[in-house]
Amino acid sequence: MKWLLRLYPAAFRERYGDELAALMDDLGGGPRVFIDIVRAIVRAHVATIARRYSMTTSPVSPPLGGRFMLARVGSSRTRRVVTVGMSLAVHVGIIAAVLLGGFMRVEELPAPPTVLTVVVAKPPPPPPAAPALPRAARRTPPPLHATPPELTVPELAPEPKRAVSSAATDASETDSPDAQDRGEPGGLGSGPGLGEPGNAPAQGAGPPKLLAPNVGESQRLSGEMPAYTAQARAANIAGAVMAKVCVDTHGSVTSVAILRGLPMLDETVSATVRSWRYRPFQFNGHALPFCHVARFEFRLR
Amino acid sequence: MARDELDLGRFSEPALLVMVSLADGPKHGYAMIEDIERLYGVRLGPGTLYGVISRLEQRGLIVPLATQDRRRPYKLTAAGASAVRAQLRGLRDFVATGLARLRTT
Repeated sequence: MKWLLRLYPAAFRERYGDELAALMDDLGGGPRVFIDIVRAIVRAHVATIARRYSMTTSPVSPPLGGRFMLARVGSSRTRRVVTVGMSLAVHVGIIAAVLLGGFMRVEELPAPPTVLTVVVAKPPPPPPAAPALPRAARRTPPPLHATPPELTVPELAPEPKRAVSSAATDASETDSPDAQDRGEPGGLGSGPGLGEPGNAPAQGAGPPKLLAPNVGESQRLSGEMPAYTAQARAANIAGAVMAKVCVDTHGSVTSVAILRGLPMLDETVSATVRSWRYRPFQFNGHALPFCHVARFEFRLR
Repeated sequence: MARDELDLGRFSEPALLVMVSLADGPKHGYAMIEDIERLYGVRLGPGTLYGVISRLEQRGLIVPLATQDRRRPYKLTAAGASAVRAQLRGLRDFVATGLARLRTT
């Protein structure tokens, strides 16, 4: 606590510092002693200032002997003024310190987010490996509906198995989406496989890196943005389509998986994105396959 | 008289306590604090005490003696002694008047 003594006015410190330190050694610390010292320091500063001030303004001669009381009365007003001023200054100082401290704390906060993004970038690789397939499988129905040839091929296979009338064909058609959802191993199981031919080669070359959306977007060299289809416009469909785009080491799009779709727009998105060209993603001097999530906003004007 | 009482009020109490404590001989800070506590039931803080000491010394009411093992004793000067005497007499009159008034009511 003796460090406090350094806050006394220099003259006071030089004259009384040592003996006051010795006294504090005798007394020991404690909150009461602390407050007492702080108060005394403020008073000592006030007295120093008041003395300097009253010398020029007060006609009272330097106090001597019993007359010091009069002198004190004479300087009491300036003393009070200075006390109030000092008190205000101390309060303003404390408030400023608290505010500044608060601002400095806040300035420290933005640092973690950048660390966080690094951490976020790392974990993603495991998820894409496992859920990529089921998700792709689940999301393939739209291309299946839209491209009849793919549907008709598996459709032909079960037909002989069931060997029933044309009414049964309708039934098998309605069956097909269910079968895909359940992942049944029947002839229909080849449907999703066909719809996702690009995924296999990309995975064969090692798990593609999932890049942050803006990073992936910055790798894009050419390609148009998907446009509204006449159907979708007529049906007033608007919103966002999110697609996971995977790119091989040459910069060609190998797969487009719709993560969040809109009716009548998924197809244009995947068709357009498939024609995009990318700059190969370089990592440690090697081109790596990568994926990124792209978001397409469709707004009706 | 009234004027004296007013001045008495302005006379800071710790200063009077310190001077009374030094009235029977020189003492250093710690001894003053202990003495005043015994005498008056008030324990002065070190900051308060040294504020008083510096003021009294400036006004020539007390003088420092040679330091003994970092502790410096202070001694009441003649001017200091007469000042305390005046203060205490003033107080005595004040106390007497107060008590007398209480008796009459």
